[in-house]
Amino acid sequence: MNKLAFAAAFTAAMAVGAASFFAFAQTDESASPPERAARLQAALEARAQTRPRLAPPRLGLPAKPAEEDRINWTEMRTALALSARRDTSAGQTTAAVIARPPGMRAAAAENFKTVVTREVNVTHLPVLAPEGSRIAQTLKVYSLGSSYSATAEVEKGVAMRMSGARKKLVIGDLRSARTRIAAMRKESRTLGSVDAPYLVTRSESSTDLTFAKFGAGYVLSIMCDDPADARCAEDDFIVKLASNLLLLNPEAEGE
Amino acid sequence: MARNRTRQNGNAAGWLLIIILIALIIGGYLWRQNGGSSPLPGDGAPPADETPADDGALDDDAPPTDDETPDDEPADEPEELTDIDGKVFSYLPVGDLLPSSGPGFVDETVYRENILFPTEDPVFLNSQVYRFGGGMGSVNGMEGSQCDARNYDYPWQDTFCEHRDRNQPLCPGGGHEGLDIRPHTCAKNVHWAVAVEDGRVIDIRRHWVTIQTPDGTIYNYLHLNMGELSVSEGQQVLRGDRIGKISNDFFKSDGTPVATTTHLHFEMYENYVESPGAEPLFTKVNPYMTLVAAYDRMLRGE
Repeated sequence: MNKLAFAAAFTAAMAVGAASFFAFAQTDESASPPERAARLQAALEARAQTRPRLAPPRLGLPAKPAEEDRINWTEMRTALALSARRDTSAGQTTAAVIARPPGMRAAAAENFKTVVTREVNVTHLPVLAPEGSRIAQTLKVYSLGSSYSATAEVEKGVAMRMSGARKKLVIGDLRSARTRIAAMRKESRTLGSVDAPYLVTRSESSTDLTFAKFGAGYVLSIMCDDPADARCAEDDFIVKLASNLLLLNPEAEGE
Repeated sequence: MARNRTRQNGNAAGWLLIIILIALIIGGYLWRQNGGSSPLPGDGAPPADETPADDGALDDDAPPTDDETPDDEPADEPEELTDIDGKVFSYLPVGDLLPSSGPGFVDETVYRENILFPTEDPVFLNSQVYRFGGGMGSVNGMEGSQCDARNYDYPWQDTFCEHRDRNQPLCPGGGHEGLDIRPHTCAKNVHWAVAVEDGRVIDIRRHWVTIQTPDGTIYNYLHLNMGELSVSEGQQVLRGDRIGKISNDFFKSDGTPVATTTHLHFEMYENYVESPGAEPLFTKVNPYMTLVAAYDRMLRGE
């Protein structure tokens, strides 16, 4: 009986000892912070890749410039006319002063004292910017020919930048592209001003709304003092801002 | 009598074995607790600064901390690519973030194949939040100062889609849509950020400088020393032109400072399609592989 008890005690002690040793050896929670950091650093180094000095293999999947970068100027003029018709119709049928319907409206660059007209005239795509009284007073446009950016103060605590580009990249990593396209489709909302689907994203520096129209890509970014500001944290403010756009070069034509 | 003595001897031997076993277990545990396992890389790093003055950042004139340039170069060149300090350049795969720091976003695309790297000196891409000196460093035991030498070493690590409290579709649960770049040393206002392509400065605001190229690509440079920029709004810049020195400037629009580490937060927007003829998306993209490729060229002197 005593031999049996001894054998049982011995076996149990062995099992407990082995288990506890294994647990102490493997469980990171038991380790001190410096030890955990050292283990993690070692694991990172073990996974890291280096580059051979000679005959290096290609890195990643290169993006290629898309051949197609034409602007559909006819679509731009049609959209402008449709928007004007909606405004006229709304004005005739409403007695009270209400917000205008979403739209894209022509506005000559000369009307903005902070806009250099030449910057707009040398831009080879529709130059869009949001409407707003503070925006109108502070709007600046910087052209790079096939791309542009317009910047302004929107209201206290919020600034904006609207950028457009006609050139596109065909990206190399189709899986990541599909993820983003799927995210956009999931949103499945339409921007009333230009009748185009849009996507809102947020990051450290801005809240962004992107859409494509007339063959170009556009992104409207707003920057809030405090990222938790509802104007940046929620979609409503930026969507409303993008719902009434100014077209600063309505006379522009194809080249 | 003899039978009783044998039984007593047996009991004593059993208990002795148990005691030895328990002693071994305790000894093994203590051995591990005292770091008795084989040395790990990083164990030899200097202890973290326990009393950082301004979040551990060094003043302009302070000497750099990572002055570990080897005195004697090996006779044979290493087979791997090294930086000017002789350190072997290594990097973790795109989307491979620190544990518990975020989902990451795997994107192997090299968006711009010929851009210059955005700094003049060797740098270290890694987390400002989840490593030494960051607000969440303790999550992985990385407690200490931002100037800890282990922050200023390879391998690089992706921080795109690292956790942030902002809701967005690309980084589930909210994330960091840029990459954090530690300068060559922990000294702020010393190391230059440069234009990666020809373009134009389209916005200078609070703690960032924005440059756009004729192709439409937008680059945001955050946390430079905004009081001593080398560019002005509207200015044309050429590839390699100095923009500003990497610092820790971080302001609300009323000028209130916000604490951060010394680093360059680098963002990139592209207007892209997944196939020719599709409607483009103009969004922030993960520049990790673009920067790995640019750094590779920089180290080769291209």
